[in-house]
Amino acid sequence: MSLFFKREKEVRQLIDEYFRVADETLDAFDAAFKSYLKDGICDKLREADGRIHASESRADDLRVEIEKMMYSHSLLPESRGDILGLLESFDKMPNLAETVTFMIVTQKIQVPPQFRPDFSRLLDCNMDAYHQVREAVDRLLANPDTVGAAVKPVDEKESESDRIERALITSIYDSDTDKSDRILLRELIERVGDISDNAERVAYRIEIIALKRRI
Amino acid sequence: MWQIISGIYMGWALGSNDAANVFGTAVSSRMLRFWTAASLCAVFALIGALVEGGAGMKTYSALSSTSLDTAFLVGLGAALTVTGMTSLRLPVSTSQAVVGALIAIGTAPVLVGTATTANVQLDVLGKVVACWVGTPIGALVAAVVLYVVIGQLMNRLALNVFQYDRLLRMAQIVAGSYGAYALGANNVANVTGPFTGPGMLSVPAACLVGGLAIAAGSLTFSRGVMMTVGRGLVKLDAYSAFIVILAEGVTVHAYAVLGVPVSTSQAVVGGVLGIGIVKGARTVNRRTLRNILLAWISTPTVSFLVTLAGYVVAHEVGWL
Repeated sequence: MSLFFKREKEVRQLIDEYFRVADETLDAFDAAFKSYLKDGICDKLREADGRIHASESRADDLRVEIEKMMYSHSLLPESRGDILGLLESFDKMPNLAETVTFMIVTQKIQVPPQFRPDFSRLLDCNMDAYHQVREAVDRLLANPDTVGAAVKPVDEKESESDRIERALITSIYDSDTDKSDRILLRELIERVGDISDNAERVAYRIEIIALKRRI
Repeated sequence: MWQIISGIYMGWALGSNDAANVFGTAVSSRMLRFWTAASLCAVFALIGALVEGGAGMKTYSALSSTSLDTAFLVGLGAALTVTGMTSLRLPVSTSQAVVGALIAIGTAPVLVGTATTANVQLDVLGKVVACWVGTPIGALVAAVVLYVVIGQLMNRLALNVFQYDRLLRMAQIVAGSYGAYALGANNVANVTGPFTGPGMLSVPAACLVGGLAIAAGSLTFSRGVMMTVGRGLVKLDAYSAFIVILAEGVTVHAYAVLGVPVSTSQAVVGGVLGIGIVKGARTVNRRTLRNILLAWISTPTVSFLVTLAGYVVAHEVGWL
C-alpha cells in the first residue's frame, strides 16, 4: 500500500516540476520578446532562444516521464487520461514560446516601430491568459470547486487577444510595409495569439476535469 | 468422504469466476496487481465463509435432504451444468444450478419408484426463488442509494484530483474486500452446503472446506475472468464502478444473512442498471437483462435434468 501512494507522490512531484519548467519557459519568452521589441534581434535574444529551447525540451522530457510513471500502476485510468490530456494540451504553450522565438531569430523578423506598442499589448494579453490558466491548474490541483472563477478570465483574455490580433493585422496590411514582411508579421501575430487560444482550450479541459469529479 | 471432490471442484470454479466481480476493475485498470487482488479475495472469501457461511447451508438442508452419495450427485450435476453452460457461453448461476440439482435429488426417488412423495420443501424453494429475483433489484436499489449518499459526502470534501483518485482507489480495495467477504459468506453453501448433515460434514467444517475451495479458485484461475469482467466495468467511471462493487457486496451480504445463496454476477448487473438510472443513461443492454431472466429458468432446469439423469444411472447400476 505504501508503494501505491509513493508512486502517486512521485507523479505529483513530477507534475509540479513540469509546471515549474513550463512557467520558466514562458517567463523567459516574455522577457525575450520584450527585449526584442525594445532592441530588435540581438545577442540577448539569441541567448534567450537557446534557454527557451532547453527548458521546453526539459518540459517535454518531464511529460514523457510522467506518462511512463502513470502507466506503471499509479492512478485510476480516468485520472491518468485527464492528467495526461491536460499536460498534452498545456504543453502546446511552451512549444509556442519556443516556436515564436526561433521564428524571430531564424527568419530575422523586424517589427516596425509604429506597431511595437500593439505587439507589446498582444504579448501582455497572451501572457495574462497563460498566467490565468496556470492559476486554474493550481486550483484544480488544490481545490477543484474554485476552478470556475479562474477559467472565465482566460476566455476574456482570449477574446481580447483576438481583437488585438485583428486590429494589428489590419493596420499592418493598411500600411506601406513590404509585402513579404506583412506575411511574416501576420504569422508572428498569429503564433503569439495561439498562446491564448491554447490557454482557453486548456481552461475548458480543466473545467471538465473538475466537473467530472462532482457527483 | 471422496464424494466431496465434486463440491470442491464447484468451489474452485466459483472462486475463479466470481473473484472477477469484486476485484475485476482494480486489476484490469492496473490499479492492483493480480496477486494482491487474488490474495485479498481468497482471504476475505475464506473469512466470510467461516463467519457467516452457515446460514445458507441451513437453507439448503431445509430445501431437500441429502446423503453423502446424493450430495456428490448434487455437486457433480451443478458443476457439469455450470461448466457446460459456460463453455456454450450461456448465462449461468452457481446458486441456481445447485438449487436445480437439489430439487432433482428430492424428486428423483419418486421417478425411480423408491418413494411416493418428493422431498422438496416448496416454502423454502419459494423463498429462494424470490431472493433470486430480489438480487438484481436489491443491487439496483442499493446502487442508487449509495451513489447519491456517498456522492454527496464526497462533494462536501472538495477533493482535488489526487485526493479524489486516492480515496477512490482505497474505496475500491475496501469494497472489493467486502465483496469477497460477502461472496464467501453467501456462496460457500453452493460449494459444500449439500454435504452437511448427519454422517457428513459439520457446518463449520463445511464452511472451512468450501471457503478454502473458493480461495483456491480465486488464487489459481481468476486472472482471465478478472480482466474480461473488469474491462466491462471500467467502461463506467471509477466512482460508479466502486458503487457497483459496493452495491453488489451489500446485496449479496444481505442475502447471506437471510441464508439464501444468490448470484454475484446478477447483483453486478443490478448495480450497473442502478447507475444507469441515476445518471439517466442506458448502462445495460436488453440482451444482458434477457440473459438474467433466461438464467433463472434455464440454469435450474438444466441442472435438474443433468442431476436427475445422474441419479437414474446411479440407481440403475445399483450404486444408490
